[in-house]
Amino acid sequence: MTYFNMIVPVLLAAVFFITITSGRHKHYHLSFALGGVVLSAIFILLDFSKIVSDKIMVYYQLGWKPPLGITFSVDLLNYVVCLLLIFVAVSALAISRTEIRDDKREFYALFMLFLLGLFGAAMTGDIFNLFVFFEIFSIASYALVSYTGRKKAVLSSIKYLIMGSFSTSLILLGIVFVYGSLGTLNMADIASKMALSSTTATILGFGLLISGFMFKAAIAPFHAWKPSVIRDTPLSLGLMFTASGTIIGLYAIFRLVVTVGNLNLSGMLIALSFVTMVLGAVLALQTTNLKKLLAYSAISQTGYVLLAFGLLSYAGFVYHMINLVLIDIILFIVAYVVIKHFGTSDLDKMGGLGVGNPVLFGSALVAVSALAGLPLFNGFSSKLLIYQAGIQVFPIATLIAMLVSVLTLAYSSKMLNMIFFSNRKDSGVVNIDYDLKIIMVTIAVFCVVLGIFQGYFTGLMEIIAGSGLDRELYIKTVLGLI
Amino acid sequence: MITILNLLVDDWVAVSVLSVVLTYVFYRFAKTDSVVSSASKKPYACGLSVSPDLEIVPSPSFYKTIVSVFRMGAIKKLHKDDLSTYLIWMLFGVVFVSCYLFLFG
Repeated sequence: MTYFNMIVPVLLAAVFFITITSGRHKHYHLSFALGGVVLSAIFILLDFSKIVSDKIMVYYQLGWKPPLGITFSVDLLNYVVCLLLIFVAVSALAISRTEIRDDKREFYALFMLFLLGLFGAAMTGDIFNLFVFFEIFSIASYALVSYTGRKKAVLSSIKYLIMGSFSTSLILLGIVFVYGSLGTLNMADIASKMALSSTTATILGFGLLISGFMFKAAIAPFHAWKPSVIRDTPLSLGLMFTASGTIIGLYAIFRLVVTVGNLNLSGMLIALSFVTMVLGAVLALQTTNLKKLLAYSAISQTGYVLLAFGLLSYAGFVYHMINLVLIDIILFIVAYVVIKHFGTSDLDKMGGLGVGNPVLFGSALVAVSALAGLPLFNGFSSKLLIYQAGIQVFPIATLIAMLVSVLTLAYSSKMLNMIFFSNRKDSGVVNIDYDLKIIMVTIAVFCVVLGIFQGYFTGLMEIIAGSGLDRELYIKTVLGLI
Repeated sequence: MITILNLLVDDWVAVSVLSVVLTYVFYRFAKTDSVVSSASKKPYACGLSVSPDLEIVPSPSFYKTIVSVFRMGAIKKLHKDDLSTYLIWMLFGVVFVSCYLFLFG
């Protein structure tokens, strides 16, 4: 028996209960949202022993087998993605507890729809369902961006909607081409037919699908929506966009290129990763808006994940994707606390928090060290894997990645300096909620542990990435041939 | 250097050293009575007297050099929230990805 298939109904039930609860009972909305996330976490954890023994879990909707029926399939790779989504969702809800004051019902209903779409996209084994779940979280996100009702936010939301609609149109068009040429929508079935009957239409379909998913992951030149959206949304949503949206986009590209298509796109991925890394880092260095800096930083780090993918360092791909999420959680919590304290996201107006705020400073220091890839922190471990892969096949890639690491150190130390020192005045002790403090410290410890025991975790990442590489097992298990 | 790093990594010694360093850093910044003020601590300036305004290096000046190296005004100009520019980039991206797949996929 599997439990992961219960996640989507549970999240949908949470949306239902939030929607029917009166707007006067504000505290219930967060409780229902948190309840949905906790139940999802329990269902994922209950499946742990099964995923270890079976390697792939498959659930056929209404018992209909593929290629006709809709399937949910979970291997170690998307199991880890689901765990990361839980981490991000809990952190975002913790931030939203004090950040969101008005219209909580609307906010949490849309938030849970957003999360539902992300989980569905992570678990589905069918490309049309992948499109449907991407649409669910995209539509929820368009509404969430304009949630504050401010003119700038509404404008950003409209721009994001237009660009997002363009990207989902690409995905839909890609599906049309793939279905038209192969006659199936099931990923395992497509994978089995690719080698035998792929045509020009199939290749064009894959190109459109990959382009659409690149928009979601904010890979250059599809990255432009991210900074303005993060700037104009509450930080709890910013975290969801930056961490969850990115990993789902990257996961979809990985699944499509490696497991389904078995395509060799190294050259393209490396080229796009350079542009993404450099653009993100250079723009992060120049901005003085903390929210935009975090958005550019996330774009730059996405470039690293893509570089690992291009260099065929799949362990590095998974490792840096996990690190990206952990670092983002800490940085967004720090940003929330700091912006709340100063009442602005302008770094020029900050400073002096270096005294009397050991937890805040310590967590930020760990996150920044990890981001810059300093030894003994998790960022170093994953970047080392990427450098090692690059040195063997494409040394210039390693050189550029190292140069971007220097830029990362420059913009992250700029951020640290401007928040904690800069004016050298004592800006007082910042009040941090206990839940945020616990999350920050726990994840900071994770960052250090992941960095120090890199040998052990590299092995683990190889196992996780390996599960996504085993095409034969995936095809046979999902199609019910074994 | 790599040998030293290899020795450090995967070792409880590293955990202990890092824990001590982090604890010390936290302790230093936790001490509220160690507030550094320009009045109590004067920076060493080779015997010259420096006005209080010059004692503090504001962040924008501090990073001016490195920012000027990577100024790339064109990139900044292209990130002005102009929807049509962004859509052209996306179109370029789709063409690039599709062409690559046609040629090498």
